[in-house]
Amino acid sequence: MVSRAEIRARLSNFPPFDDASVGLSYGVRMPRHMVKQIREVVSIARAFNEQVARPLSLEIDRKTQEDPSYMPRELVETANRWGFYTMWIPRMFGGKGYNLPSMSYFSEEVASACLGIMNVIGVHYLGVAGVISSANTRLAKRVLSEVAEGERSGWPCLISLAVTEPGAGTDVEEVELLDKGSVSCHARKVKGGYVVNGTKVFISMGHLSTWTVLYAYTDLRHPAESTVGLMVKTGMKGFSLGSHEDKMGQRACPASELVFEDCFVPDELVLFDEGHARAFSKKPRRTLAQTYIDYVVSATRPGVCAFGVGAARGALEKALDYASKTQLNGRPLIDHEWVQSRLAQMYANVALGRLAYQEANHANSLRGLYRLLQFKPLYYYFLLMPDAYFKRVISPTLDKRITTNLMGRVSFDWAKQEDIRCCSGWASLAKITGTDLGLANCRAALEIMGAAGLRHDLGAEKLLRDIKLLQIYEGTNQLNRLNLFKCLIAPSFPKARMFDE
Amino acid sequence: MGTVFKKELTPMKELARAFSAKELAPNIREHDRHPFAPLFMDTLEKAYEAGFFGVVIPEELGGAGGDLETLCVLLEEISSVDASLGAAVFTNACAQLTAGACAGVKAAGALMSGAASVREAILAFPCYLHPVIEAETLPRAELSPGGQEVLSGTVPLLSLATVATRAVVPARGAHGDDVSFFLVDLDRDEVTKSGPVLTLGFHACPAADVTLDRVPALRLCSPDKGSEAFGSVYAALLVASAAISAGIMRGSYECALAYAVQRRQGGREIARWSEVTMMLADMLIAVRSSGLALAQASRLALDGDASSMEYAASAALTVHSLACGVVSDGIQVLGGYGYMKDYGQEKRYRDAHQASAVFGSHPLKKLSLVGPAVKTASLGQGGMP
Ligand SMILES: Cc1cc2nc3c(=O)[nH]c(=O)nc-3n(C[C@H](O)[C@H](O)[C@H](O)COP(=O)(O)OP(=O)(O)OC[C@H]3O[C@@H](n4cnc5c(N)ncnc54)[C@H](O)[C@@H]3O)c2cc1C
Repeated sequence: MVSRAEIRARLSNFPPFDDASVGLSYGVRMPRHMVKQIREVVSIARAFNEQVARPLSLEIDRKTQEDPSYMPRELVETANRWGFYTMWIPRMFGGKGYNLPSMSYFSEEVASACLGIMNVIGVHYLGVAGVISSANTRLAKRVLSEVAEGERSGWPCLISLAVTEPGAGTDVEEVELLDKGSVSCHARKVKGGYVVNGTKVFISMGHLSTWTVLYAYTDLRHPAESTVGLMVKTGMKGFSLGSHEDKMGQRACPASELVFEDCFVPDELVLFDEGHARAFSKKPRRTLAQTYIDYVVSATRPGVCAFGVGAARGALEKALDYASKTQLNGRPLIDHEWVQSRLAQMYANVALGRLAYQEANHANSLRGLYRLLQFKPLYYYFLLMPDAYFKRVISPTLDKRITTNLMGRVSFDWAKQEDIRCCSGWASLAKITGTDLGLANCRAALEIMGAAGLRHDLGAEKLLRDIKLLQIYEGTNQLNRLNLFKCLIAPSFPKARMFDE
Repeated sequence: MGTVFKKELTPMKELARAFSAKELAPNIREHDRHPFAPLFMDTLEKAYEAGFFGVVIPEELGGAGGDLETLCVLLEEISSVDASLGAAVFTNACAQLTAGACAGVKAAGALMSGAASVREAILAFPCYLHPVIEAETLPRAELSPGGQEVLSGTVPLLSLATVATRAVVPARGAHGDDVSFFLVDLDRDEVTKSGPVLTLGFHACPAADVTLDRVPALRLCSPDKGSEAFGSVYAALLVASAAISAGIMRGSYECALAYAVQRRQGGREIARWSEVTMMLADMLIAVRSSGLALAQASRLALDGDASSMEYAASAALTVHSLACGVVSDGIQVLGGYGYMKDYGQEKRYRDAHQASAVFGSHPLKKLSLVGPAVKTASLGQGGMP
């Protein structure tokens, strides 16, 4: 028999088994109810596709080409009516509390009908992730309960997340690069809050959001040491919306410029700053800043993978439909071997992409941001307690400083760096896999369809335009490959230096 | 530097470059808004005056008397700036060369002579279908009671149909099932045109779905000669379409390079991060090797012998594939900015994929290319013809 110590030692050699096969350990711990909920979510998504996404997809895309200033307000209202903006907000914050991995399955479904429409729903959860990852339970409760109220009243309340600046895109995704780059969004500490000056670009849904999670820096020369997270509300003095971009694809979802000119943000809207950092942990500020970024992207990048898988599936479905209805040499195209082989590869790409987001979600559930919510006893506890309990018992505690500090300690101090790295690495792996395979499938569909693939009215060309964005946002795929190296490979090769060539 | 064409073509290259800089570059975005903005008729008119629509027509018939290489130089140069005009020139050249292969160069030249405007001069052509591989989808020709041949059926994505007054259209003949080519007057009552169809790329080279309902048509070749005639120019046309792709990818590379030495991330120009340098290297290699292949292919394609045409068509298909990869990297190097209309990279991405669908699906073109080789090899082994 091999001793435990021997097993542990061997399995920690590269590639460390617990990192490489993270889902294996989570599988046995997964609450069974999650599967039931995922099935429900997929069926809701399919109903939404039938009734809303498929009928609107090409119509909205064409409308925005005709009139680039078009804003999809009605679509946002529809998604709000379907309850999508609170579906994955934990119940303690007033949401419906569906399990977080189920969102990936939902994303795949809706993205298979329209990536732009999926982004109109999904990018709100980038904002939600920005809020929740901060550990600031008081502010999370305030903002997220407004989202729930927006659903009740029919006035959608969405959250966007603003990190990217005109001169800093890749740099703001990676703390190692942050100090080398040149950020310009400045937050000056004043009595009672911060005064912000600067511009953010490419902010998805900026024009249609009520709240924005804003990253700014108190010291522009040392941004990694001085990152602050602020909640800004549309309409606040000094905060204005600039232009929105004329993009190649995903045109249903605007990307906005946000301009801050002496915008005063009161202390009560500070999500994360020096004060929080000191209360949470003694670790260096830059480590905490990286942890914050890692939590957000570990949650959102598997989502982008699911978007890519959805597009890959959309492409497969288009190609299948075409191949079934088209004749070549007197036989249906789908009867030709070369076509079957390509369709099979497209199917395989979809499945591989799905496995990637599943594994990344397992990592988050076992070792990352979801670990409390997906921990079996807590999962059932949150599932089964009545609404009144959350309102009367849990909700008041969220306002207490001690709760924020406790959550902050759990997330930023007690969490192990190797766990955070594992989740971040898998998130990057999923992101590049789903999006690259997605692009491969969209190209394959166009190749099979020939001239038909070029036509807007048949939808395949839109997929090719939409998918390309996924290789760029949430960190370019180049940056994500480097992050994968940093998180999953470099720890075993400690002499390897990153971003230092 | 673009493709290494022969020195004598420098004047054409310079003309095309000057034209592109003056007439295309300032308005690329506006031109690309078609069909939601008016078509760039002024530019088409100027291109006509510059002789771009008569490059392959002999001088004595009012053309520039150029060969395939001349056409390729022109297409590559203008497509590096705006491939829509490249596609328009290409469409017309497809019609002219096919008509020439069917009815002789003189007849093809005559189609252009006496035209008072670009509309009257240029010819529409269904350049997104392969008339031989996709023969079963073609309109049918039949004899009317008056003894005139009439065409019925639909021609999807007839390129330039909303601009030109006439089209060269393939149809399956009344005299059998072979493909024949016809000249059709698009202004006749028996012709119904959709509006410009919104497509992935080439927005300013509009295509329309055209329905023919017993429209009288002028036969350009004898009933059993259409496939052969098209076959004799197919490799050349494919090479010309690849010149568009070569232009697009060169434009994409040059734009990416210029951006990468100016955009800074992580405290340095992004061109100095080796991951970006590697992307630029991949693009450069694709652009330059396509240039070489294309120069050779444009000399071989009209040789007339099967082997030369096989080389030429293979090179063209390779260039199309490479271009689709290059334009994706071309966006990637610019990050988010590459995805926006501002830098033109997203247009190149769309246009390159559109170009690769000329004459239909890429895999089908590959299969049709190797088909004769398989047949010959099989016969050599004593196999069935
Ligand atoms: C439509 C759209 C929506 C978006 N939505 C949001 C949003 O909601 N919120 C938000 O904050 N941001 C958003 N973004 C921004 C997005 O995350 C950035 O575009 C992305 O991170 C890349 O940054 P950049 O565009 O500045 O490219 P750059 O950082 O300028 O990158 C240019 C190229 O250089 C490469 N590169 C740069 N640095 C390095 C390096 N060190 N090593 C190797 N390669 C490098 C990149 O990979 C890329 O290929 C959005 C972008 C788009 C296009």
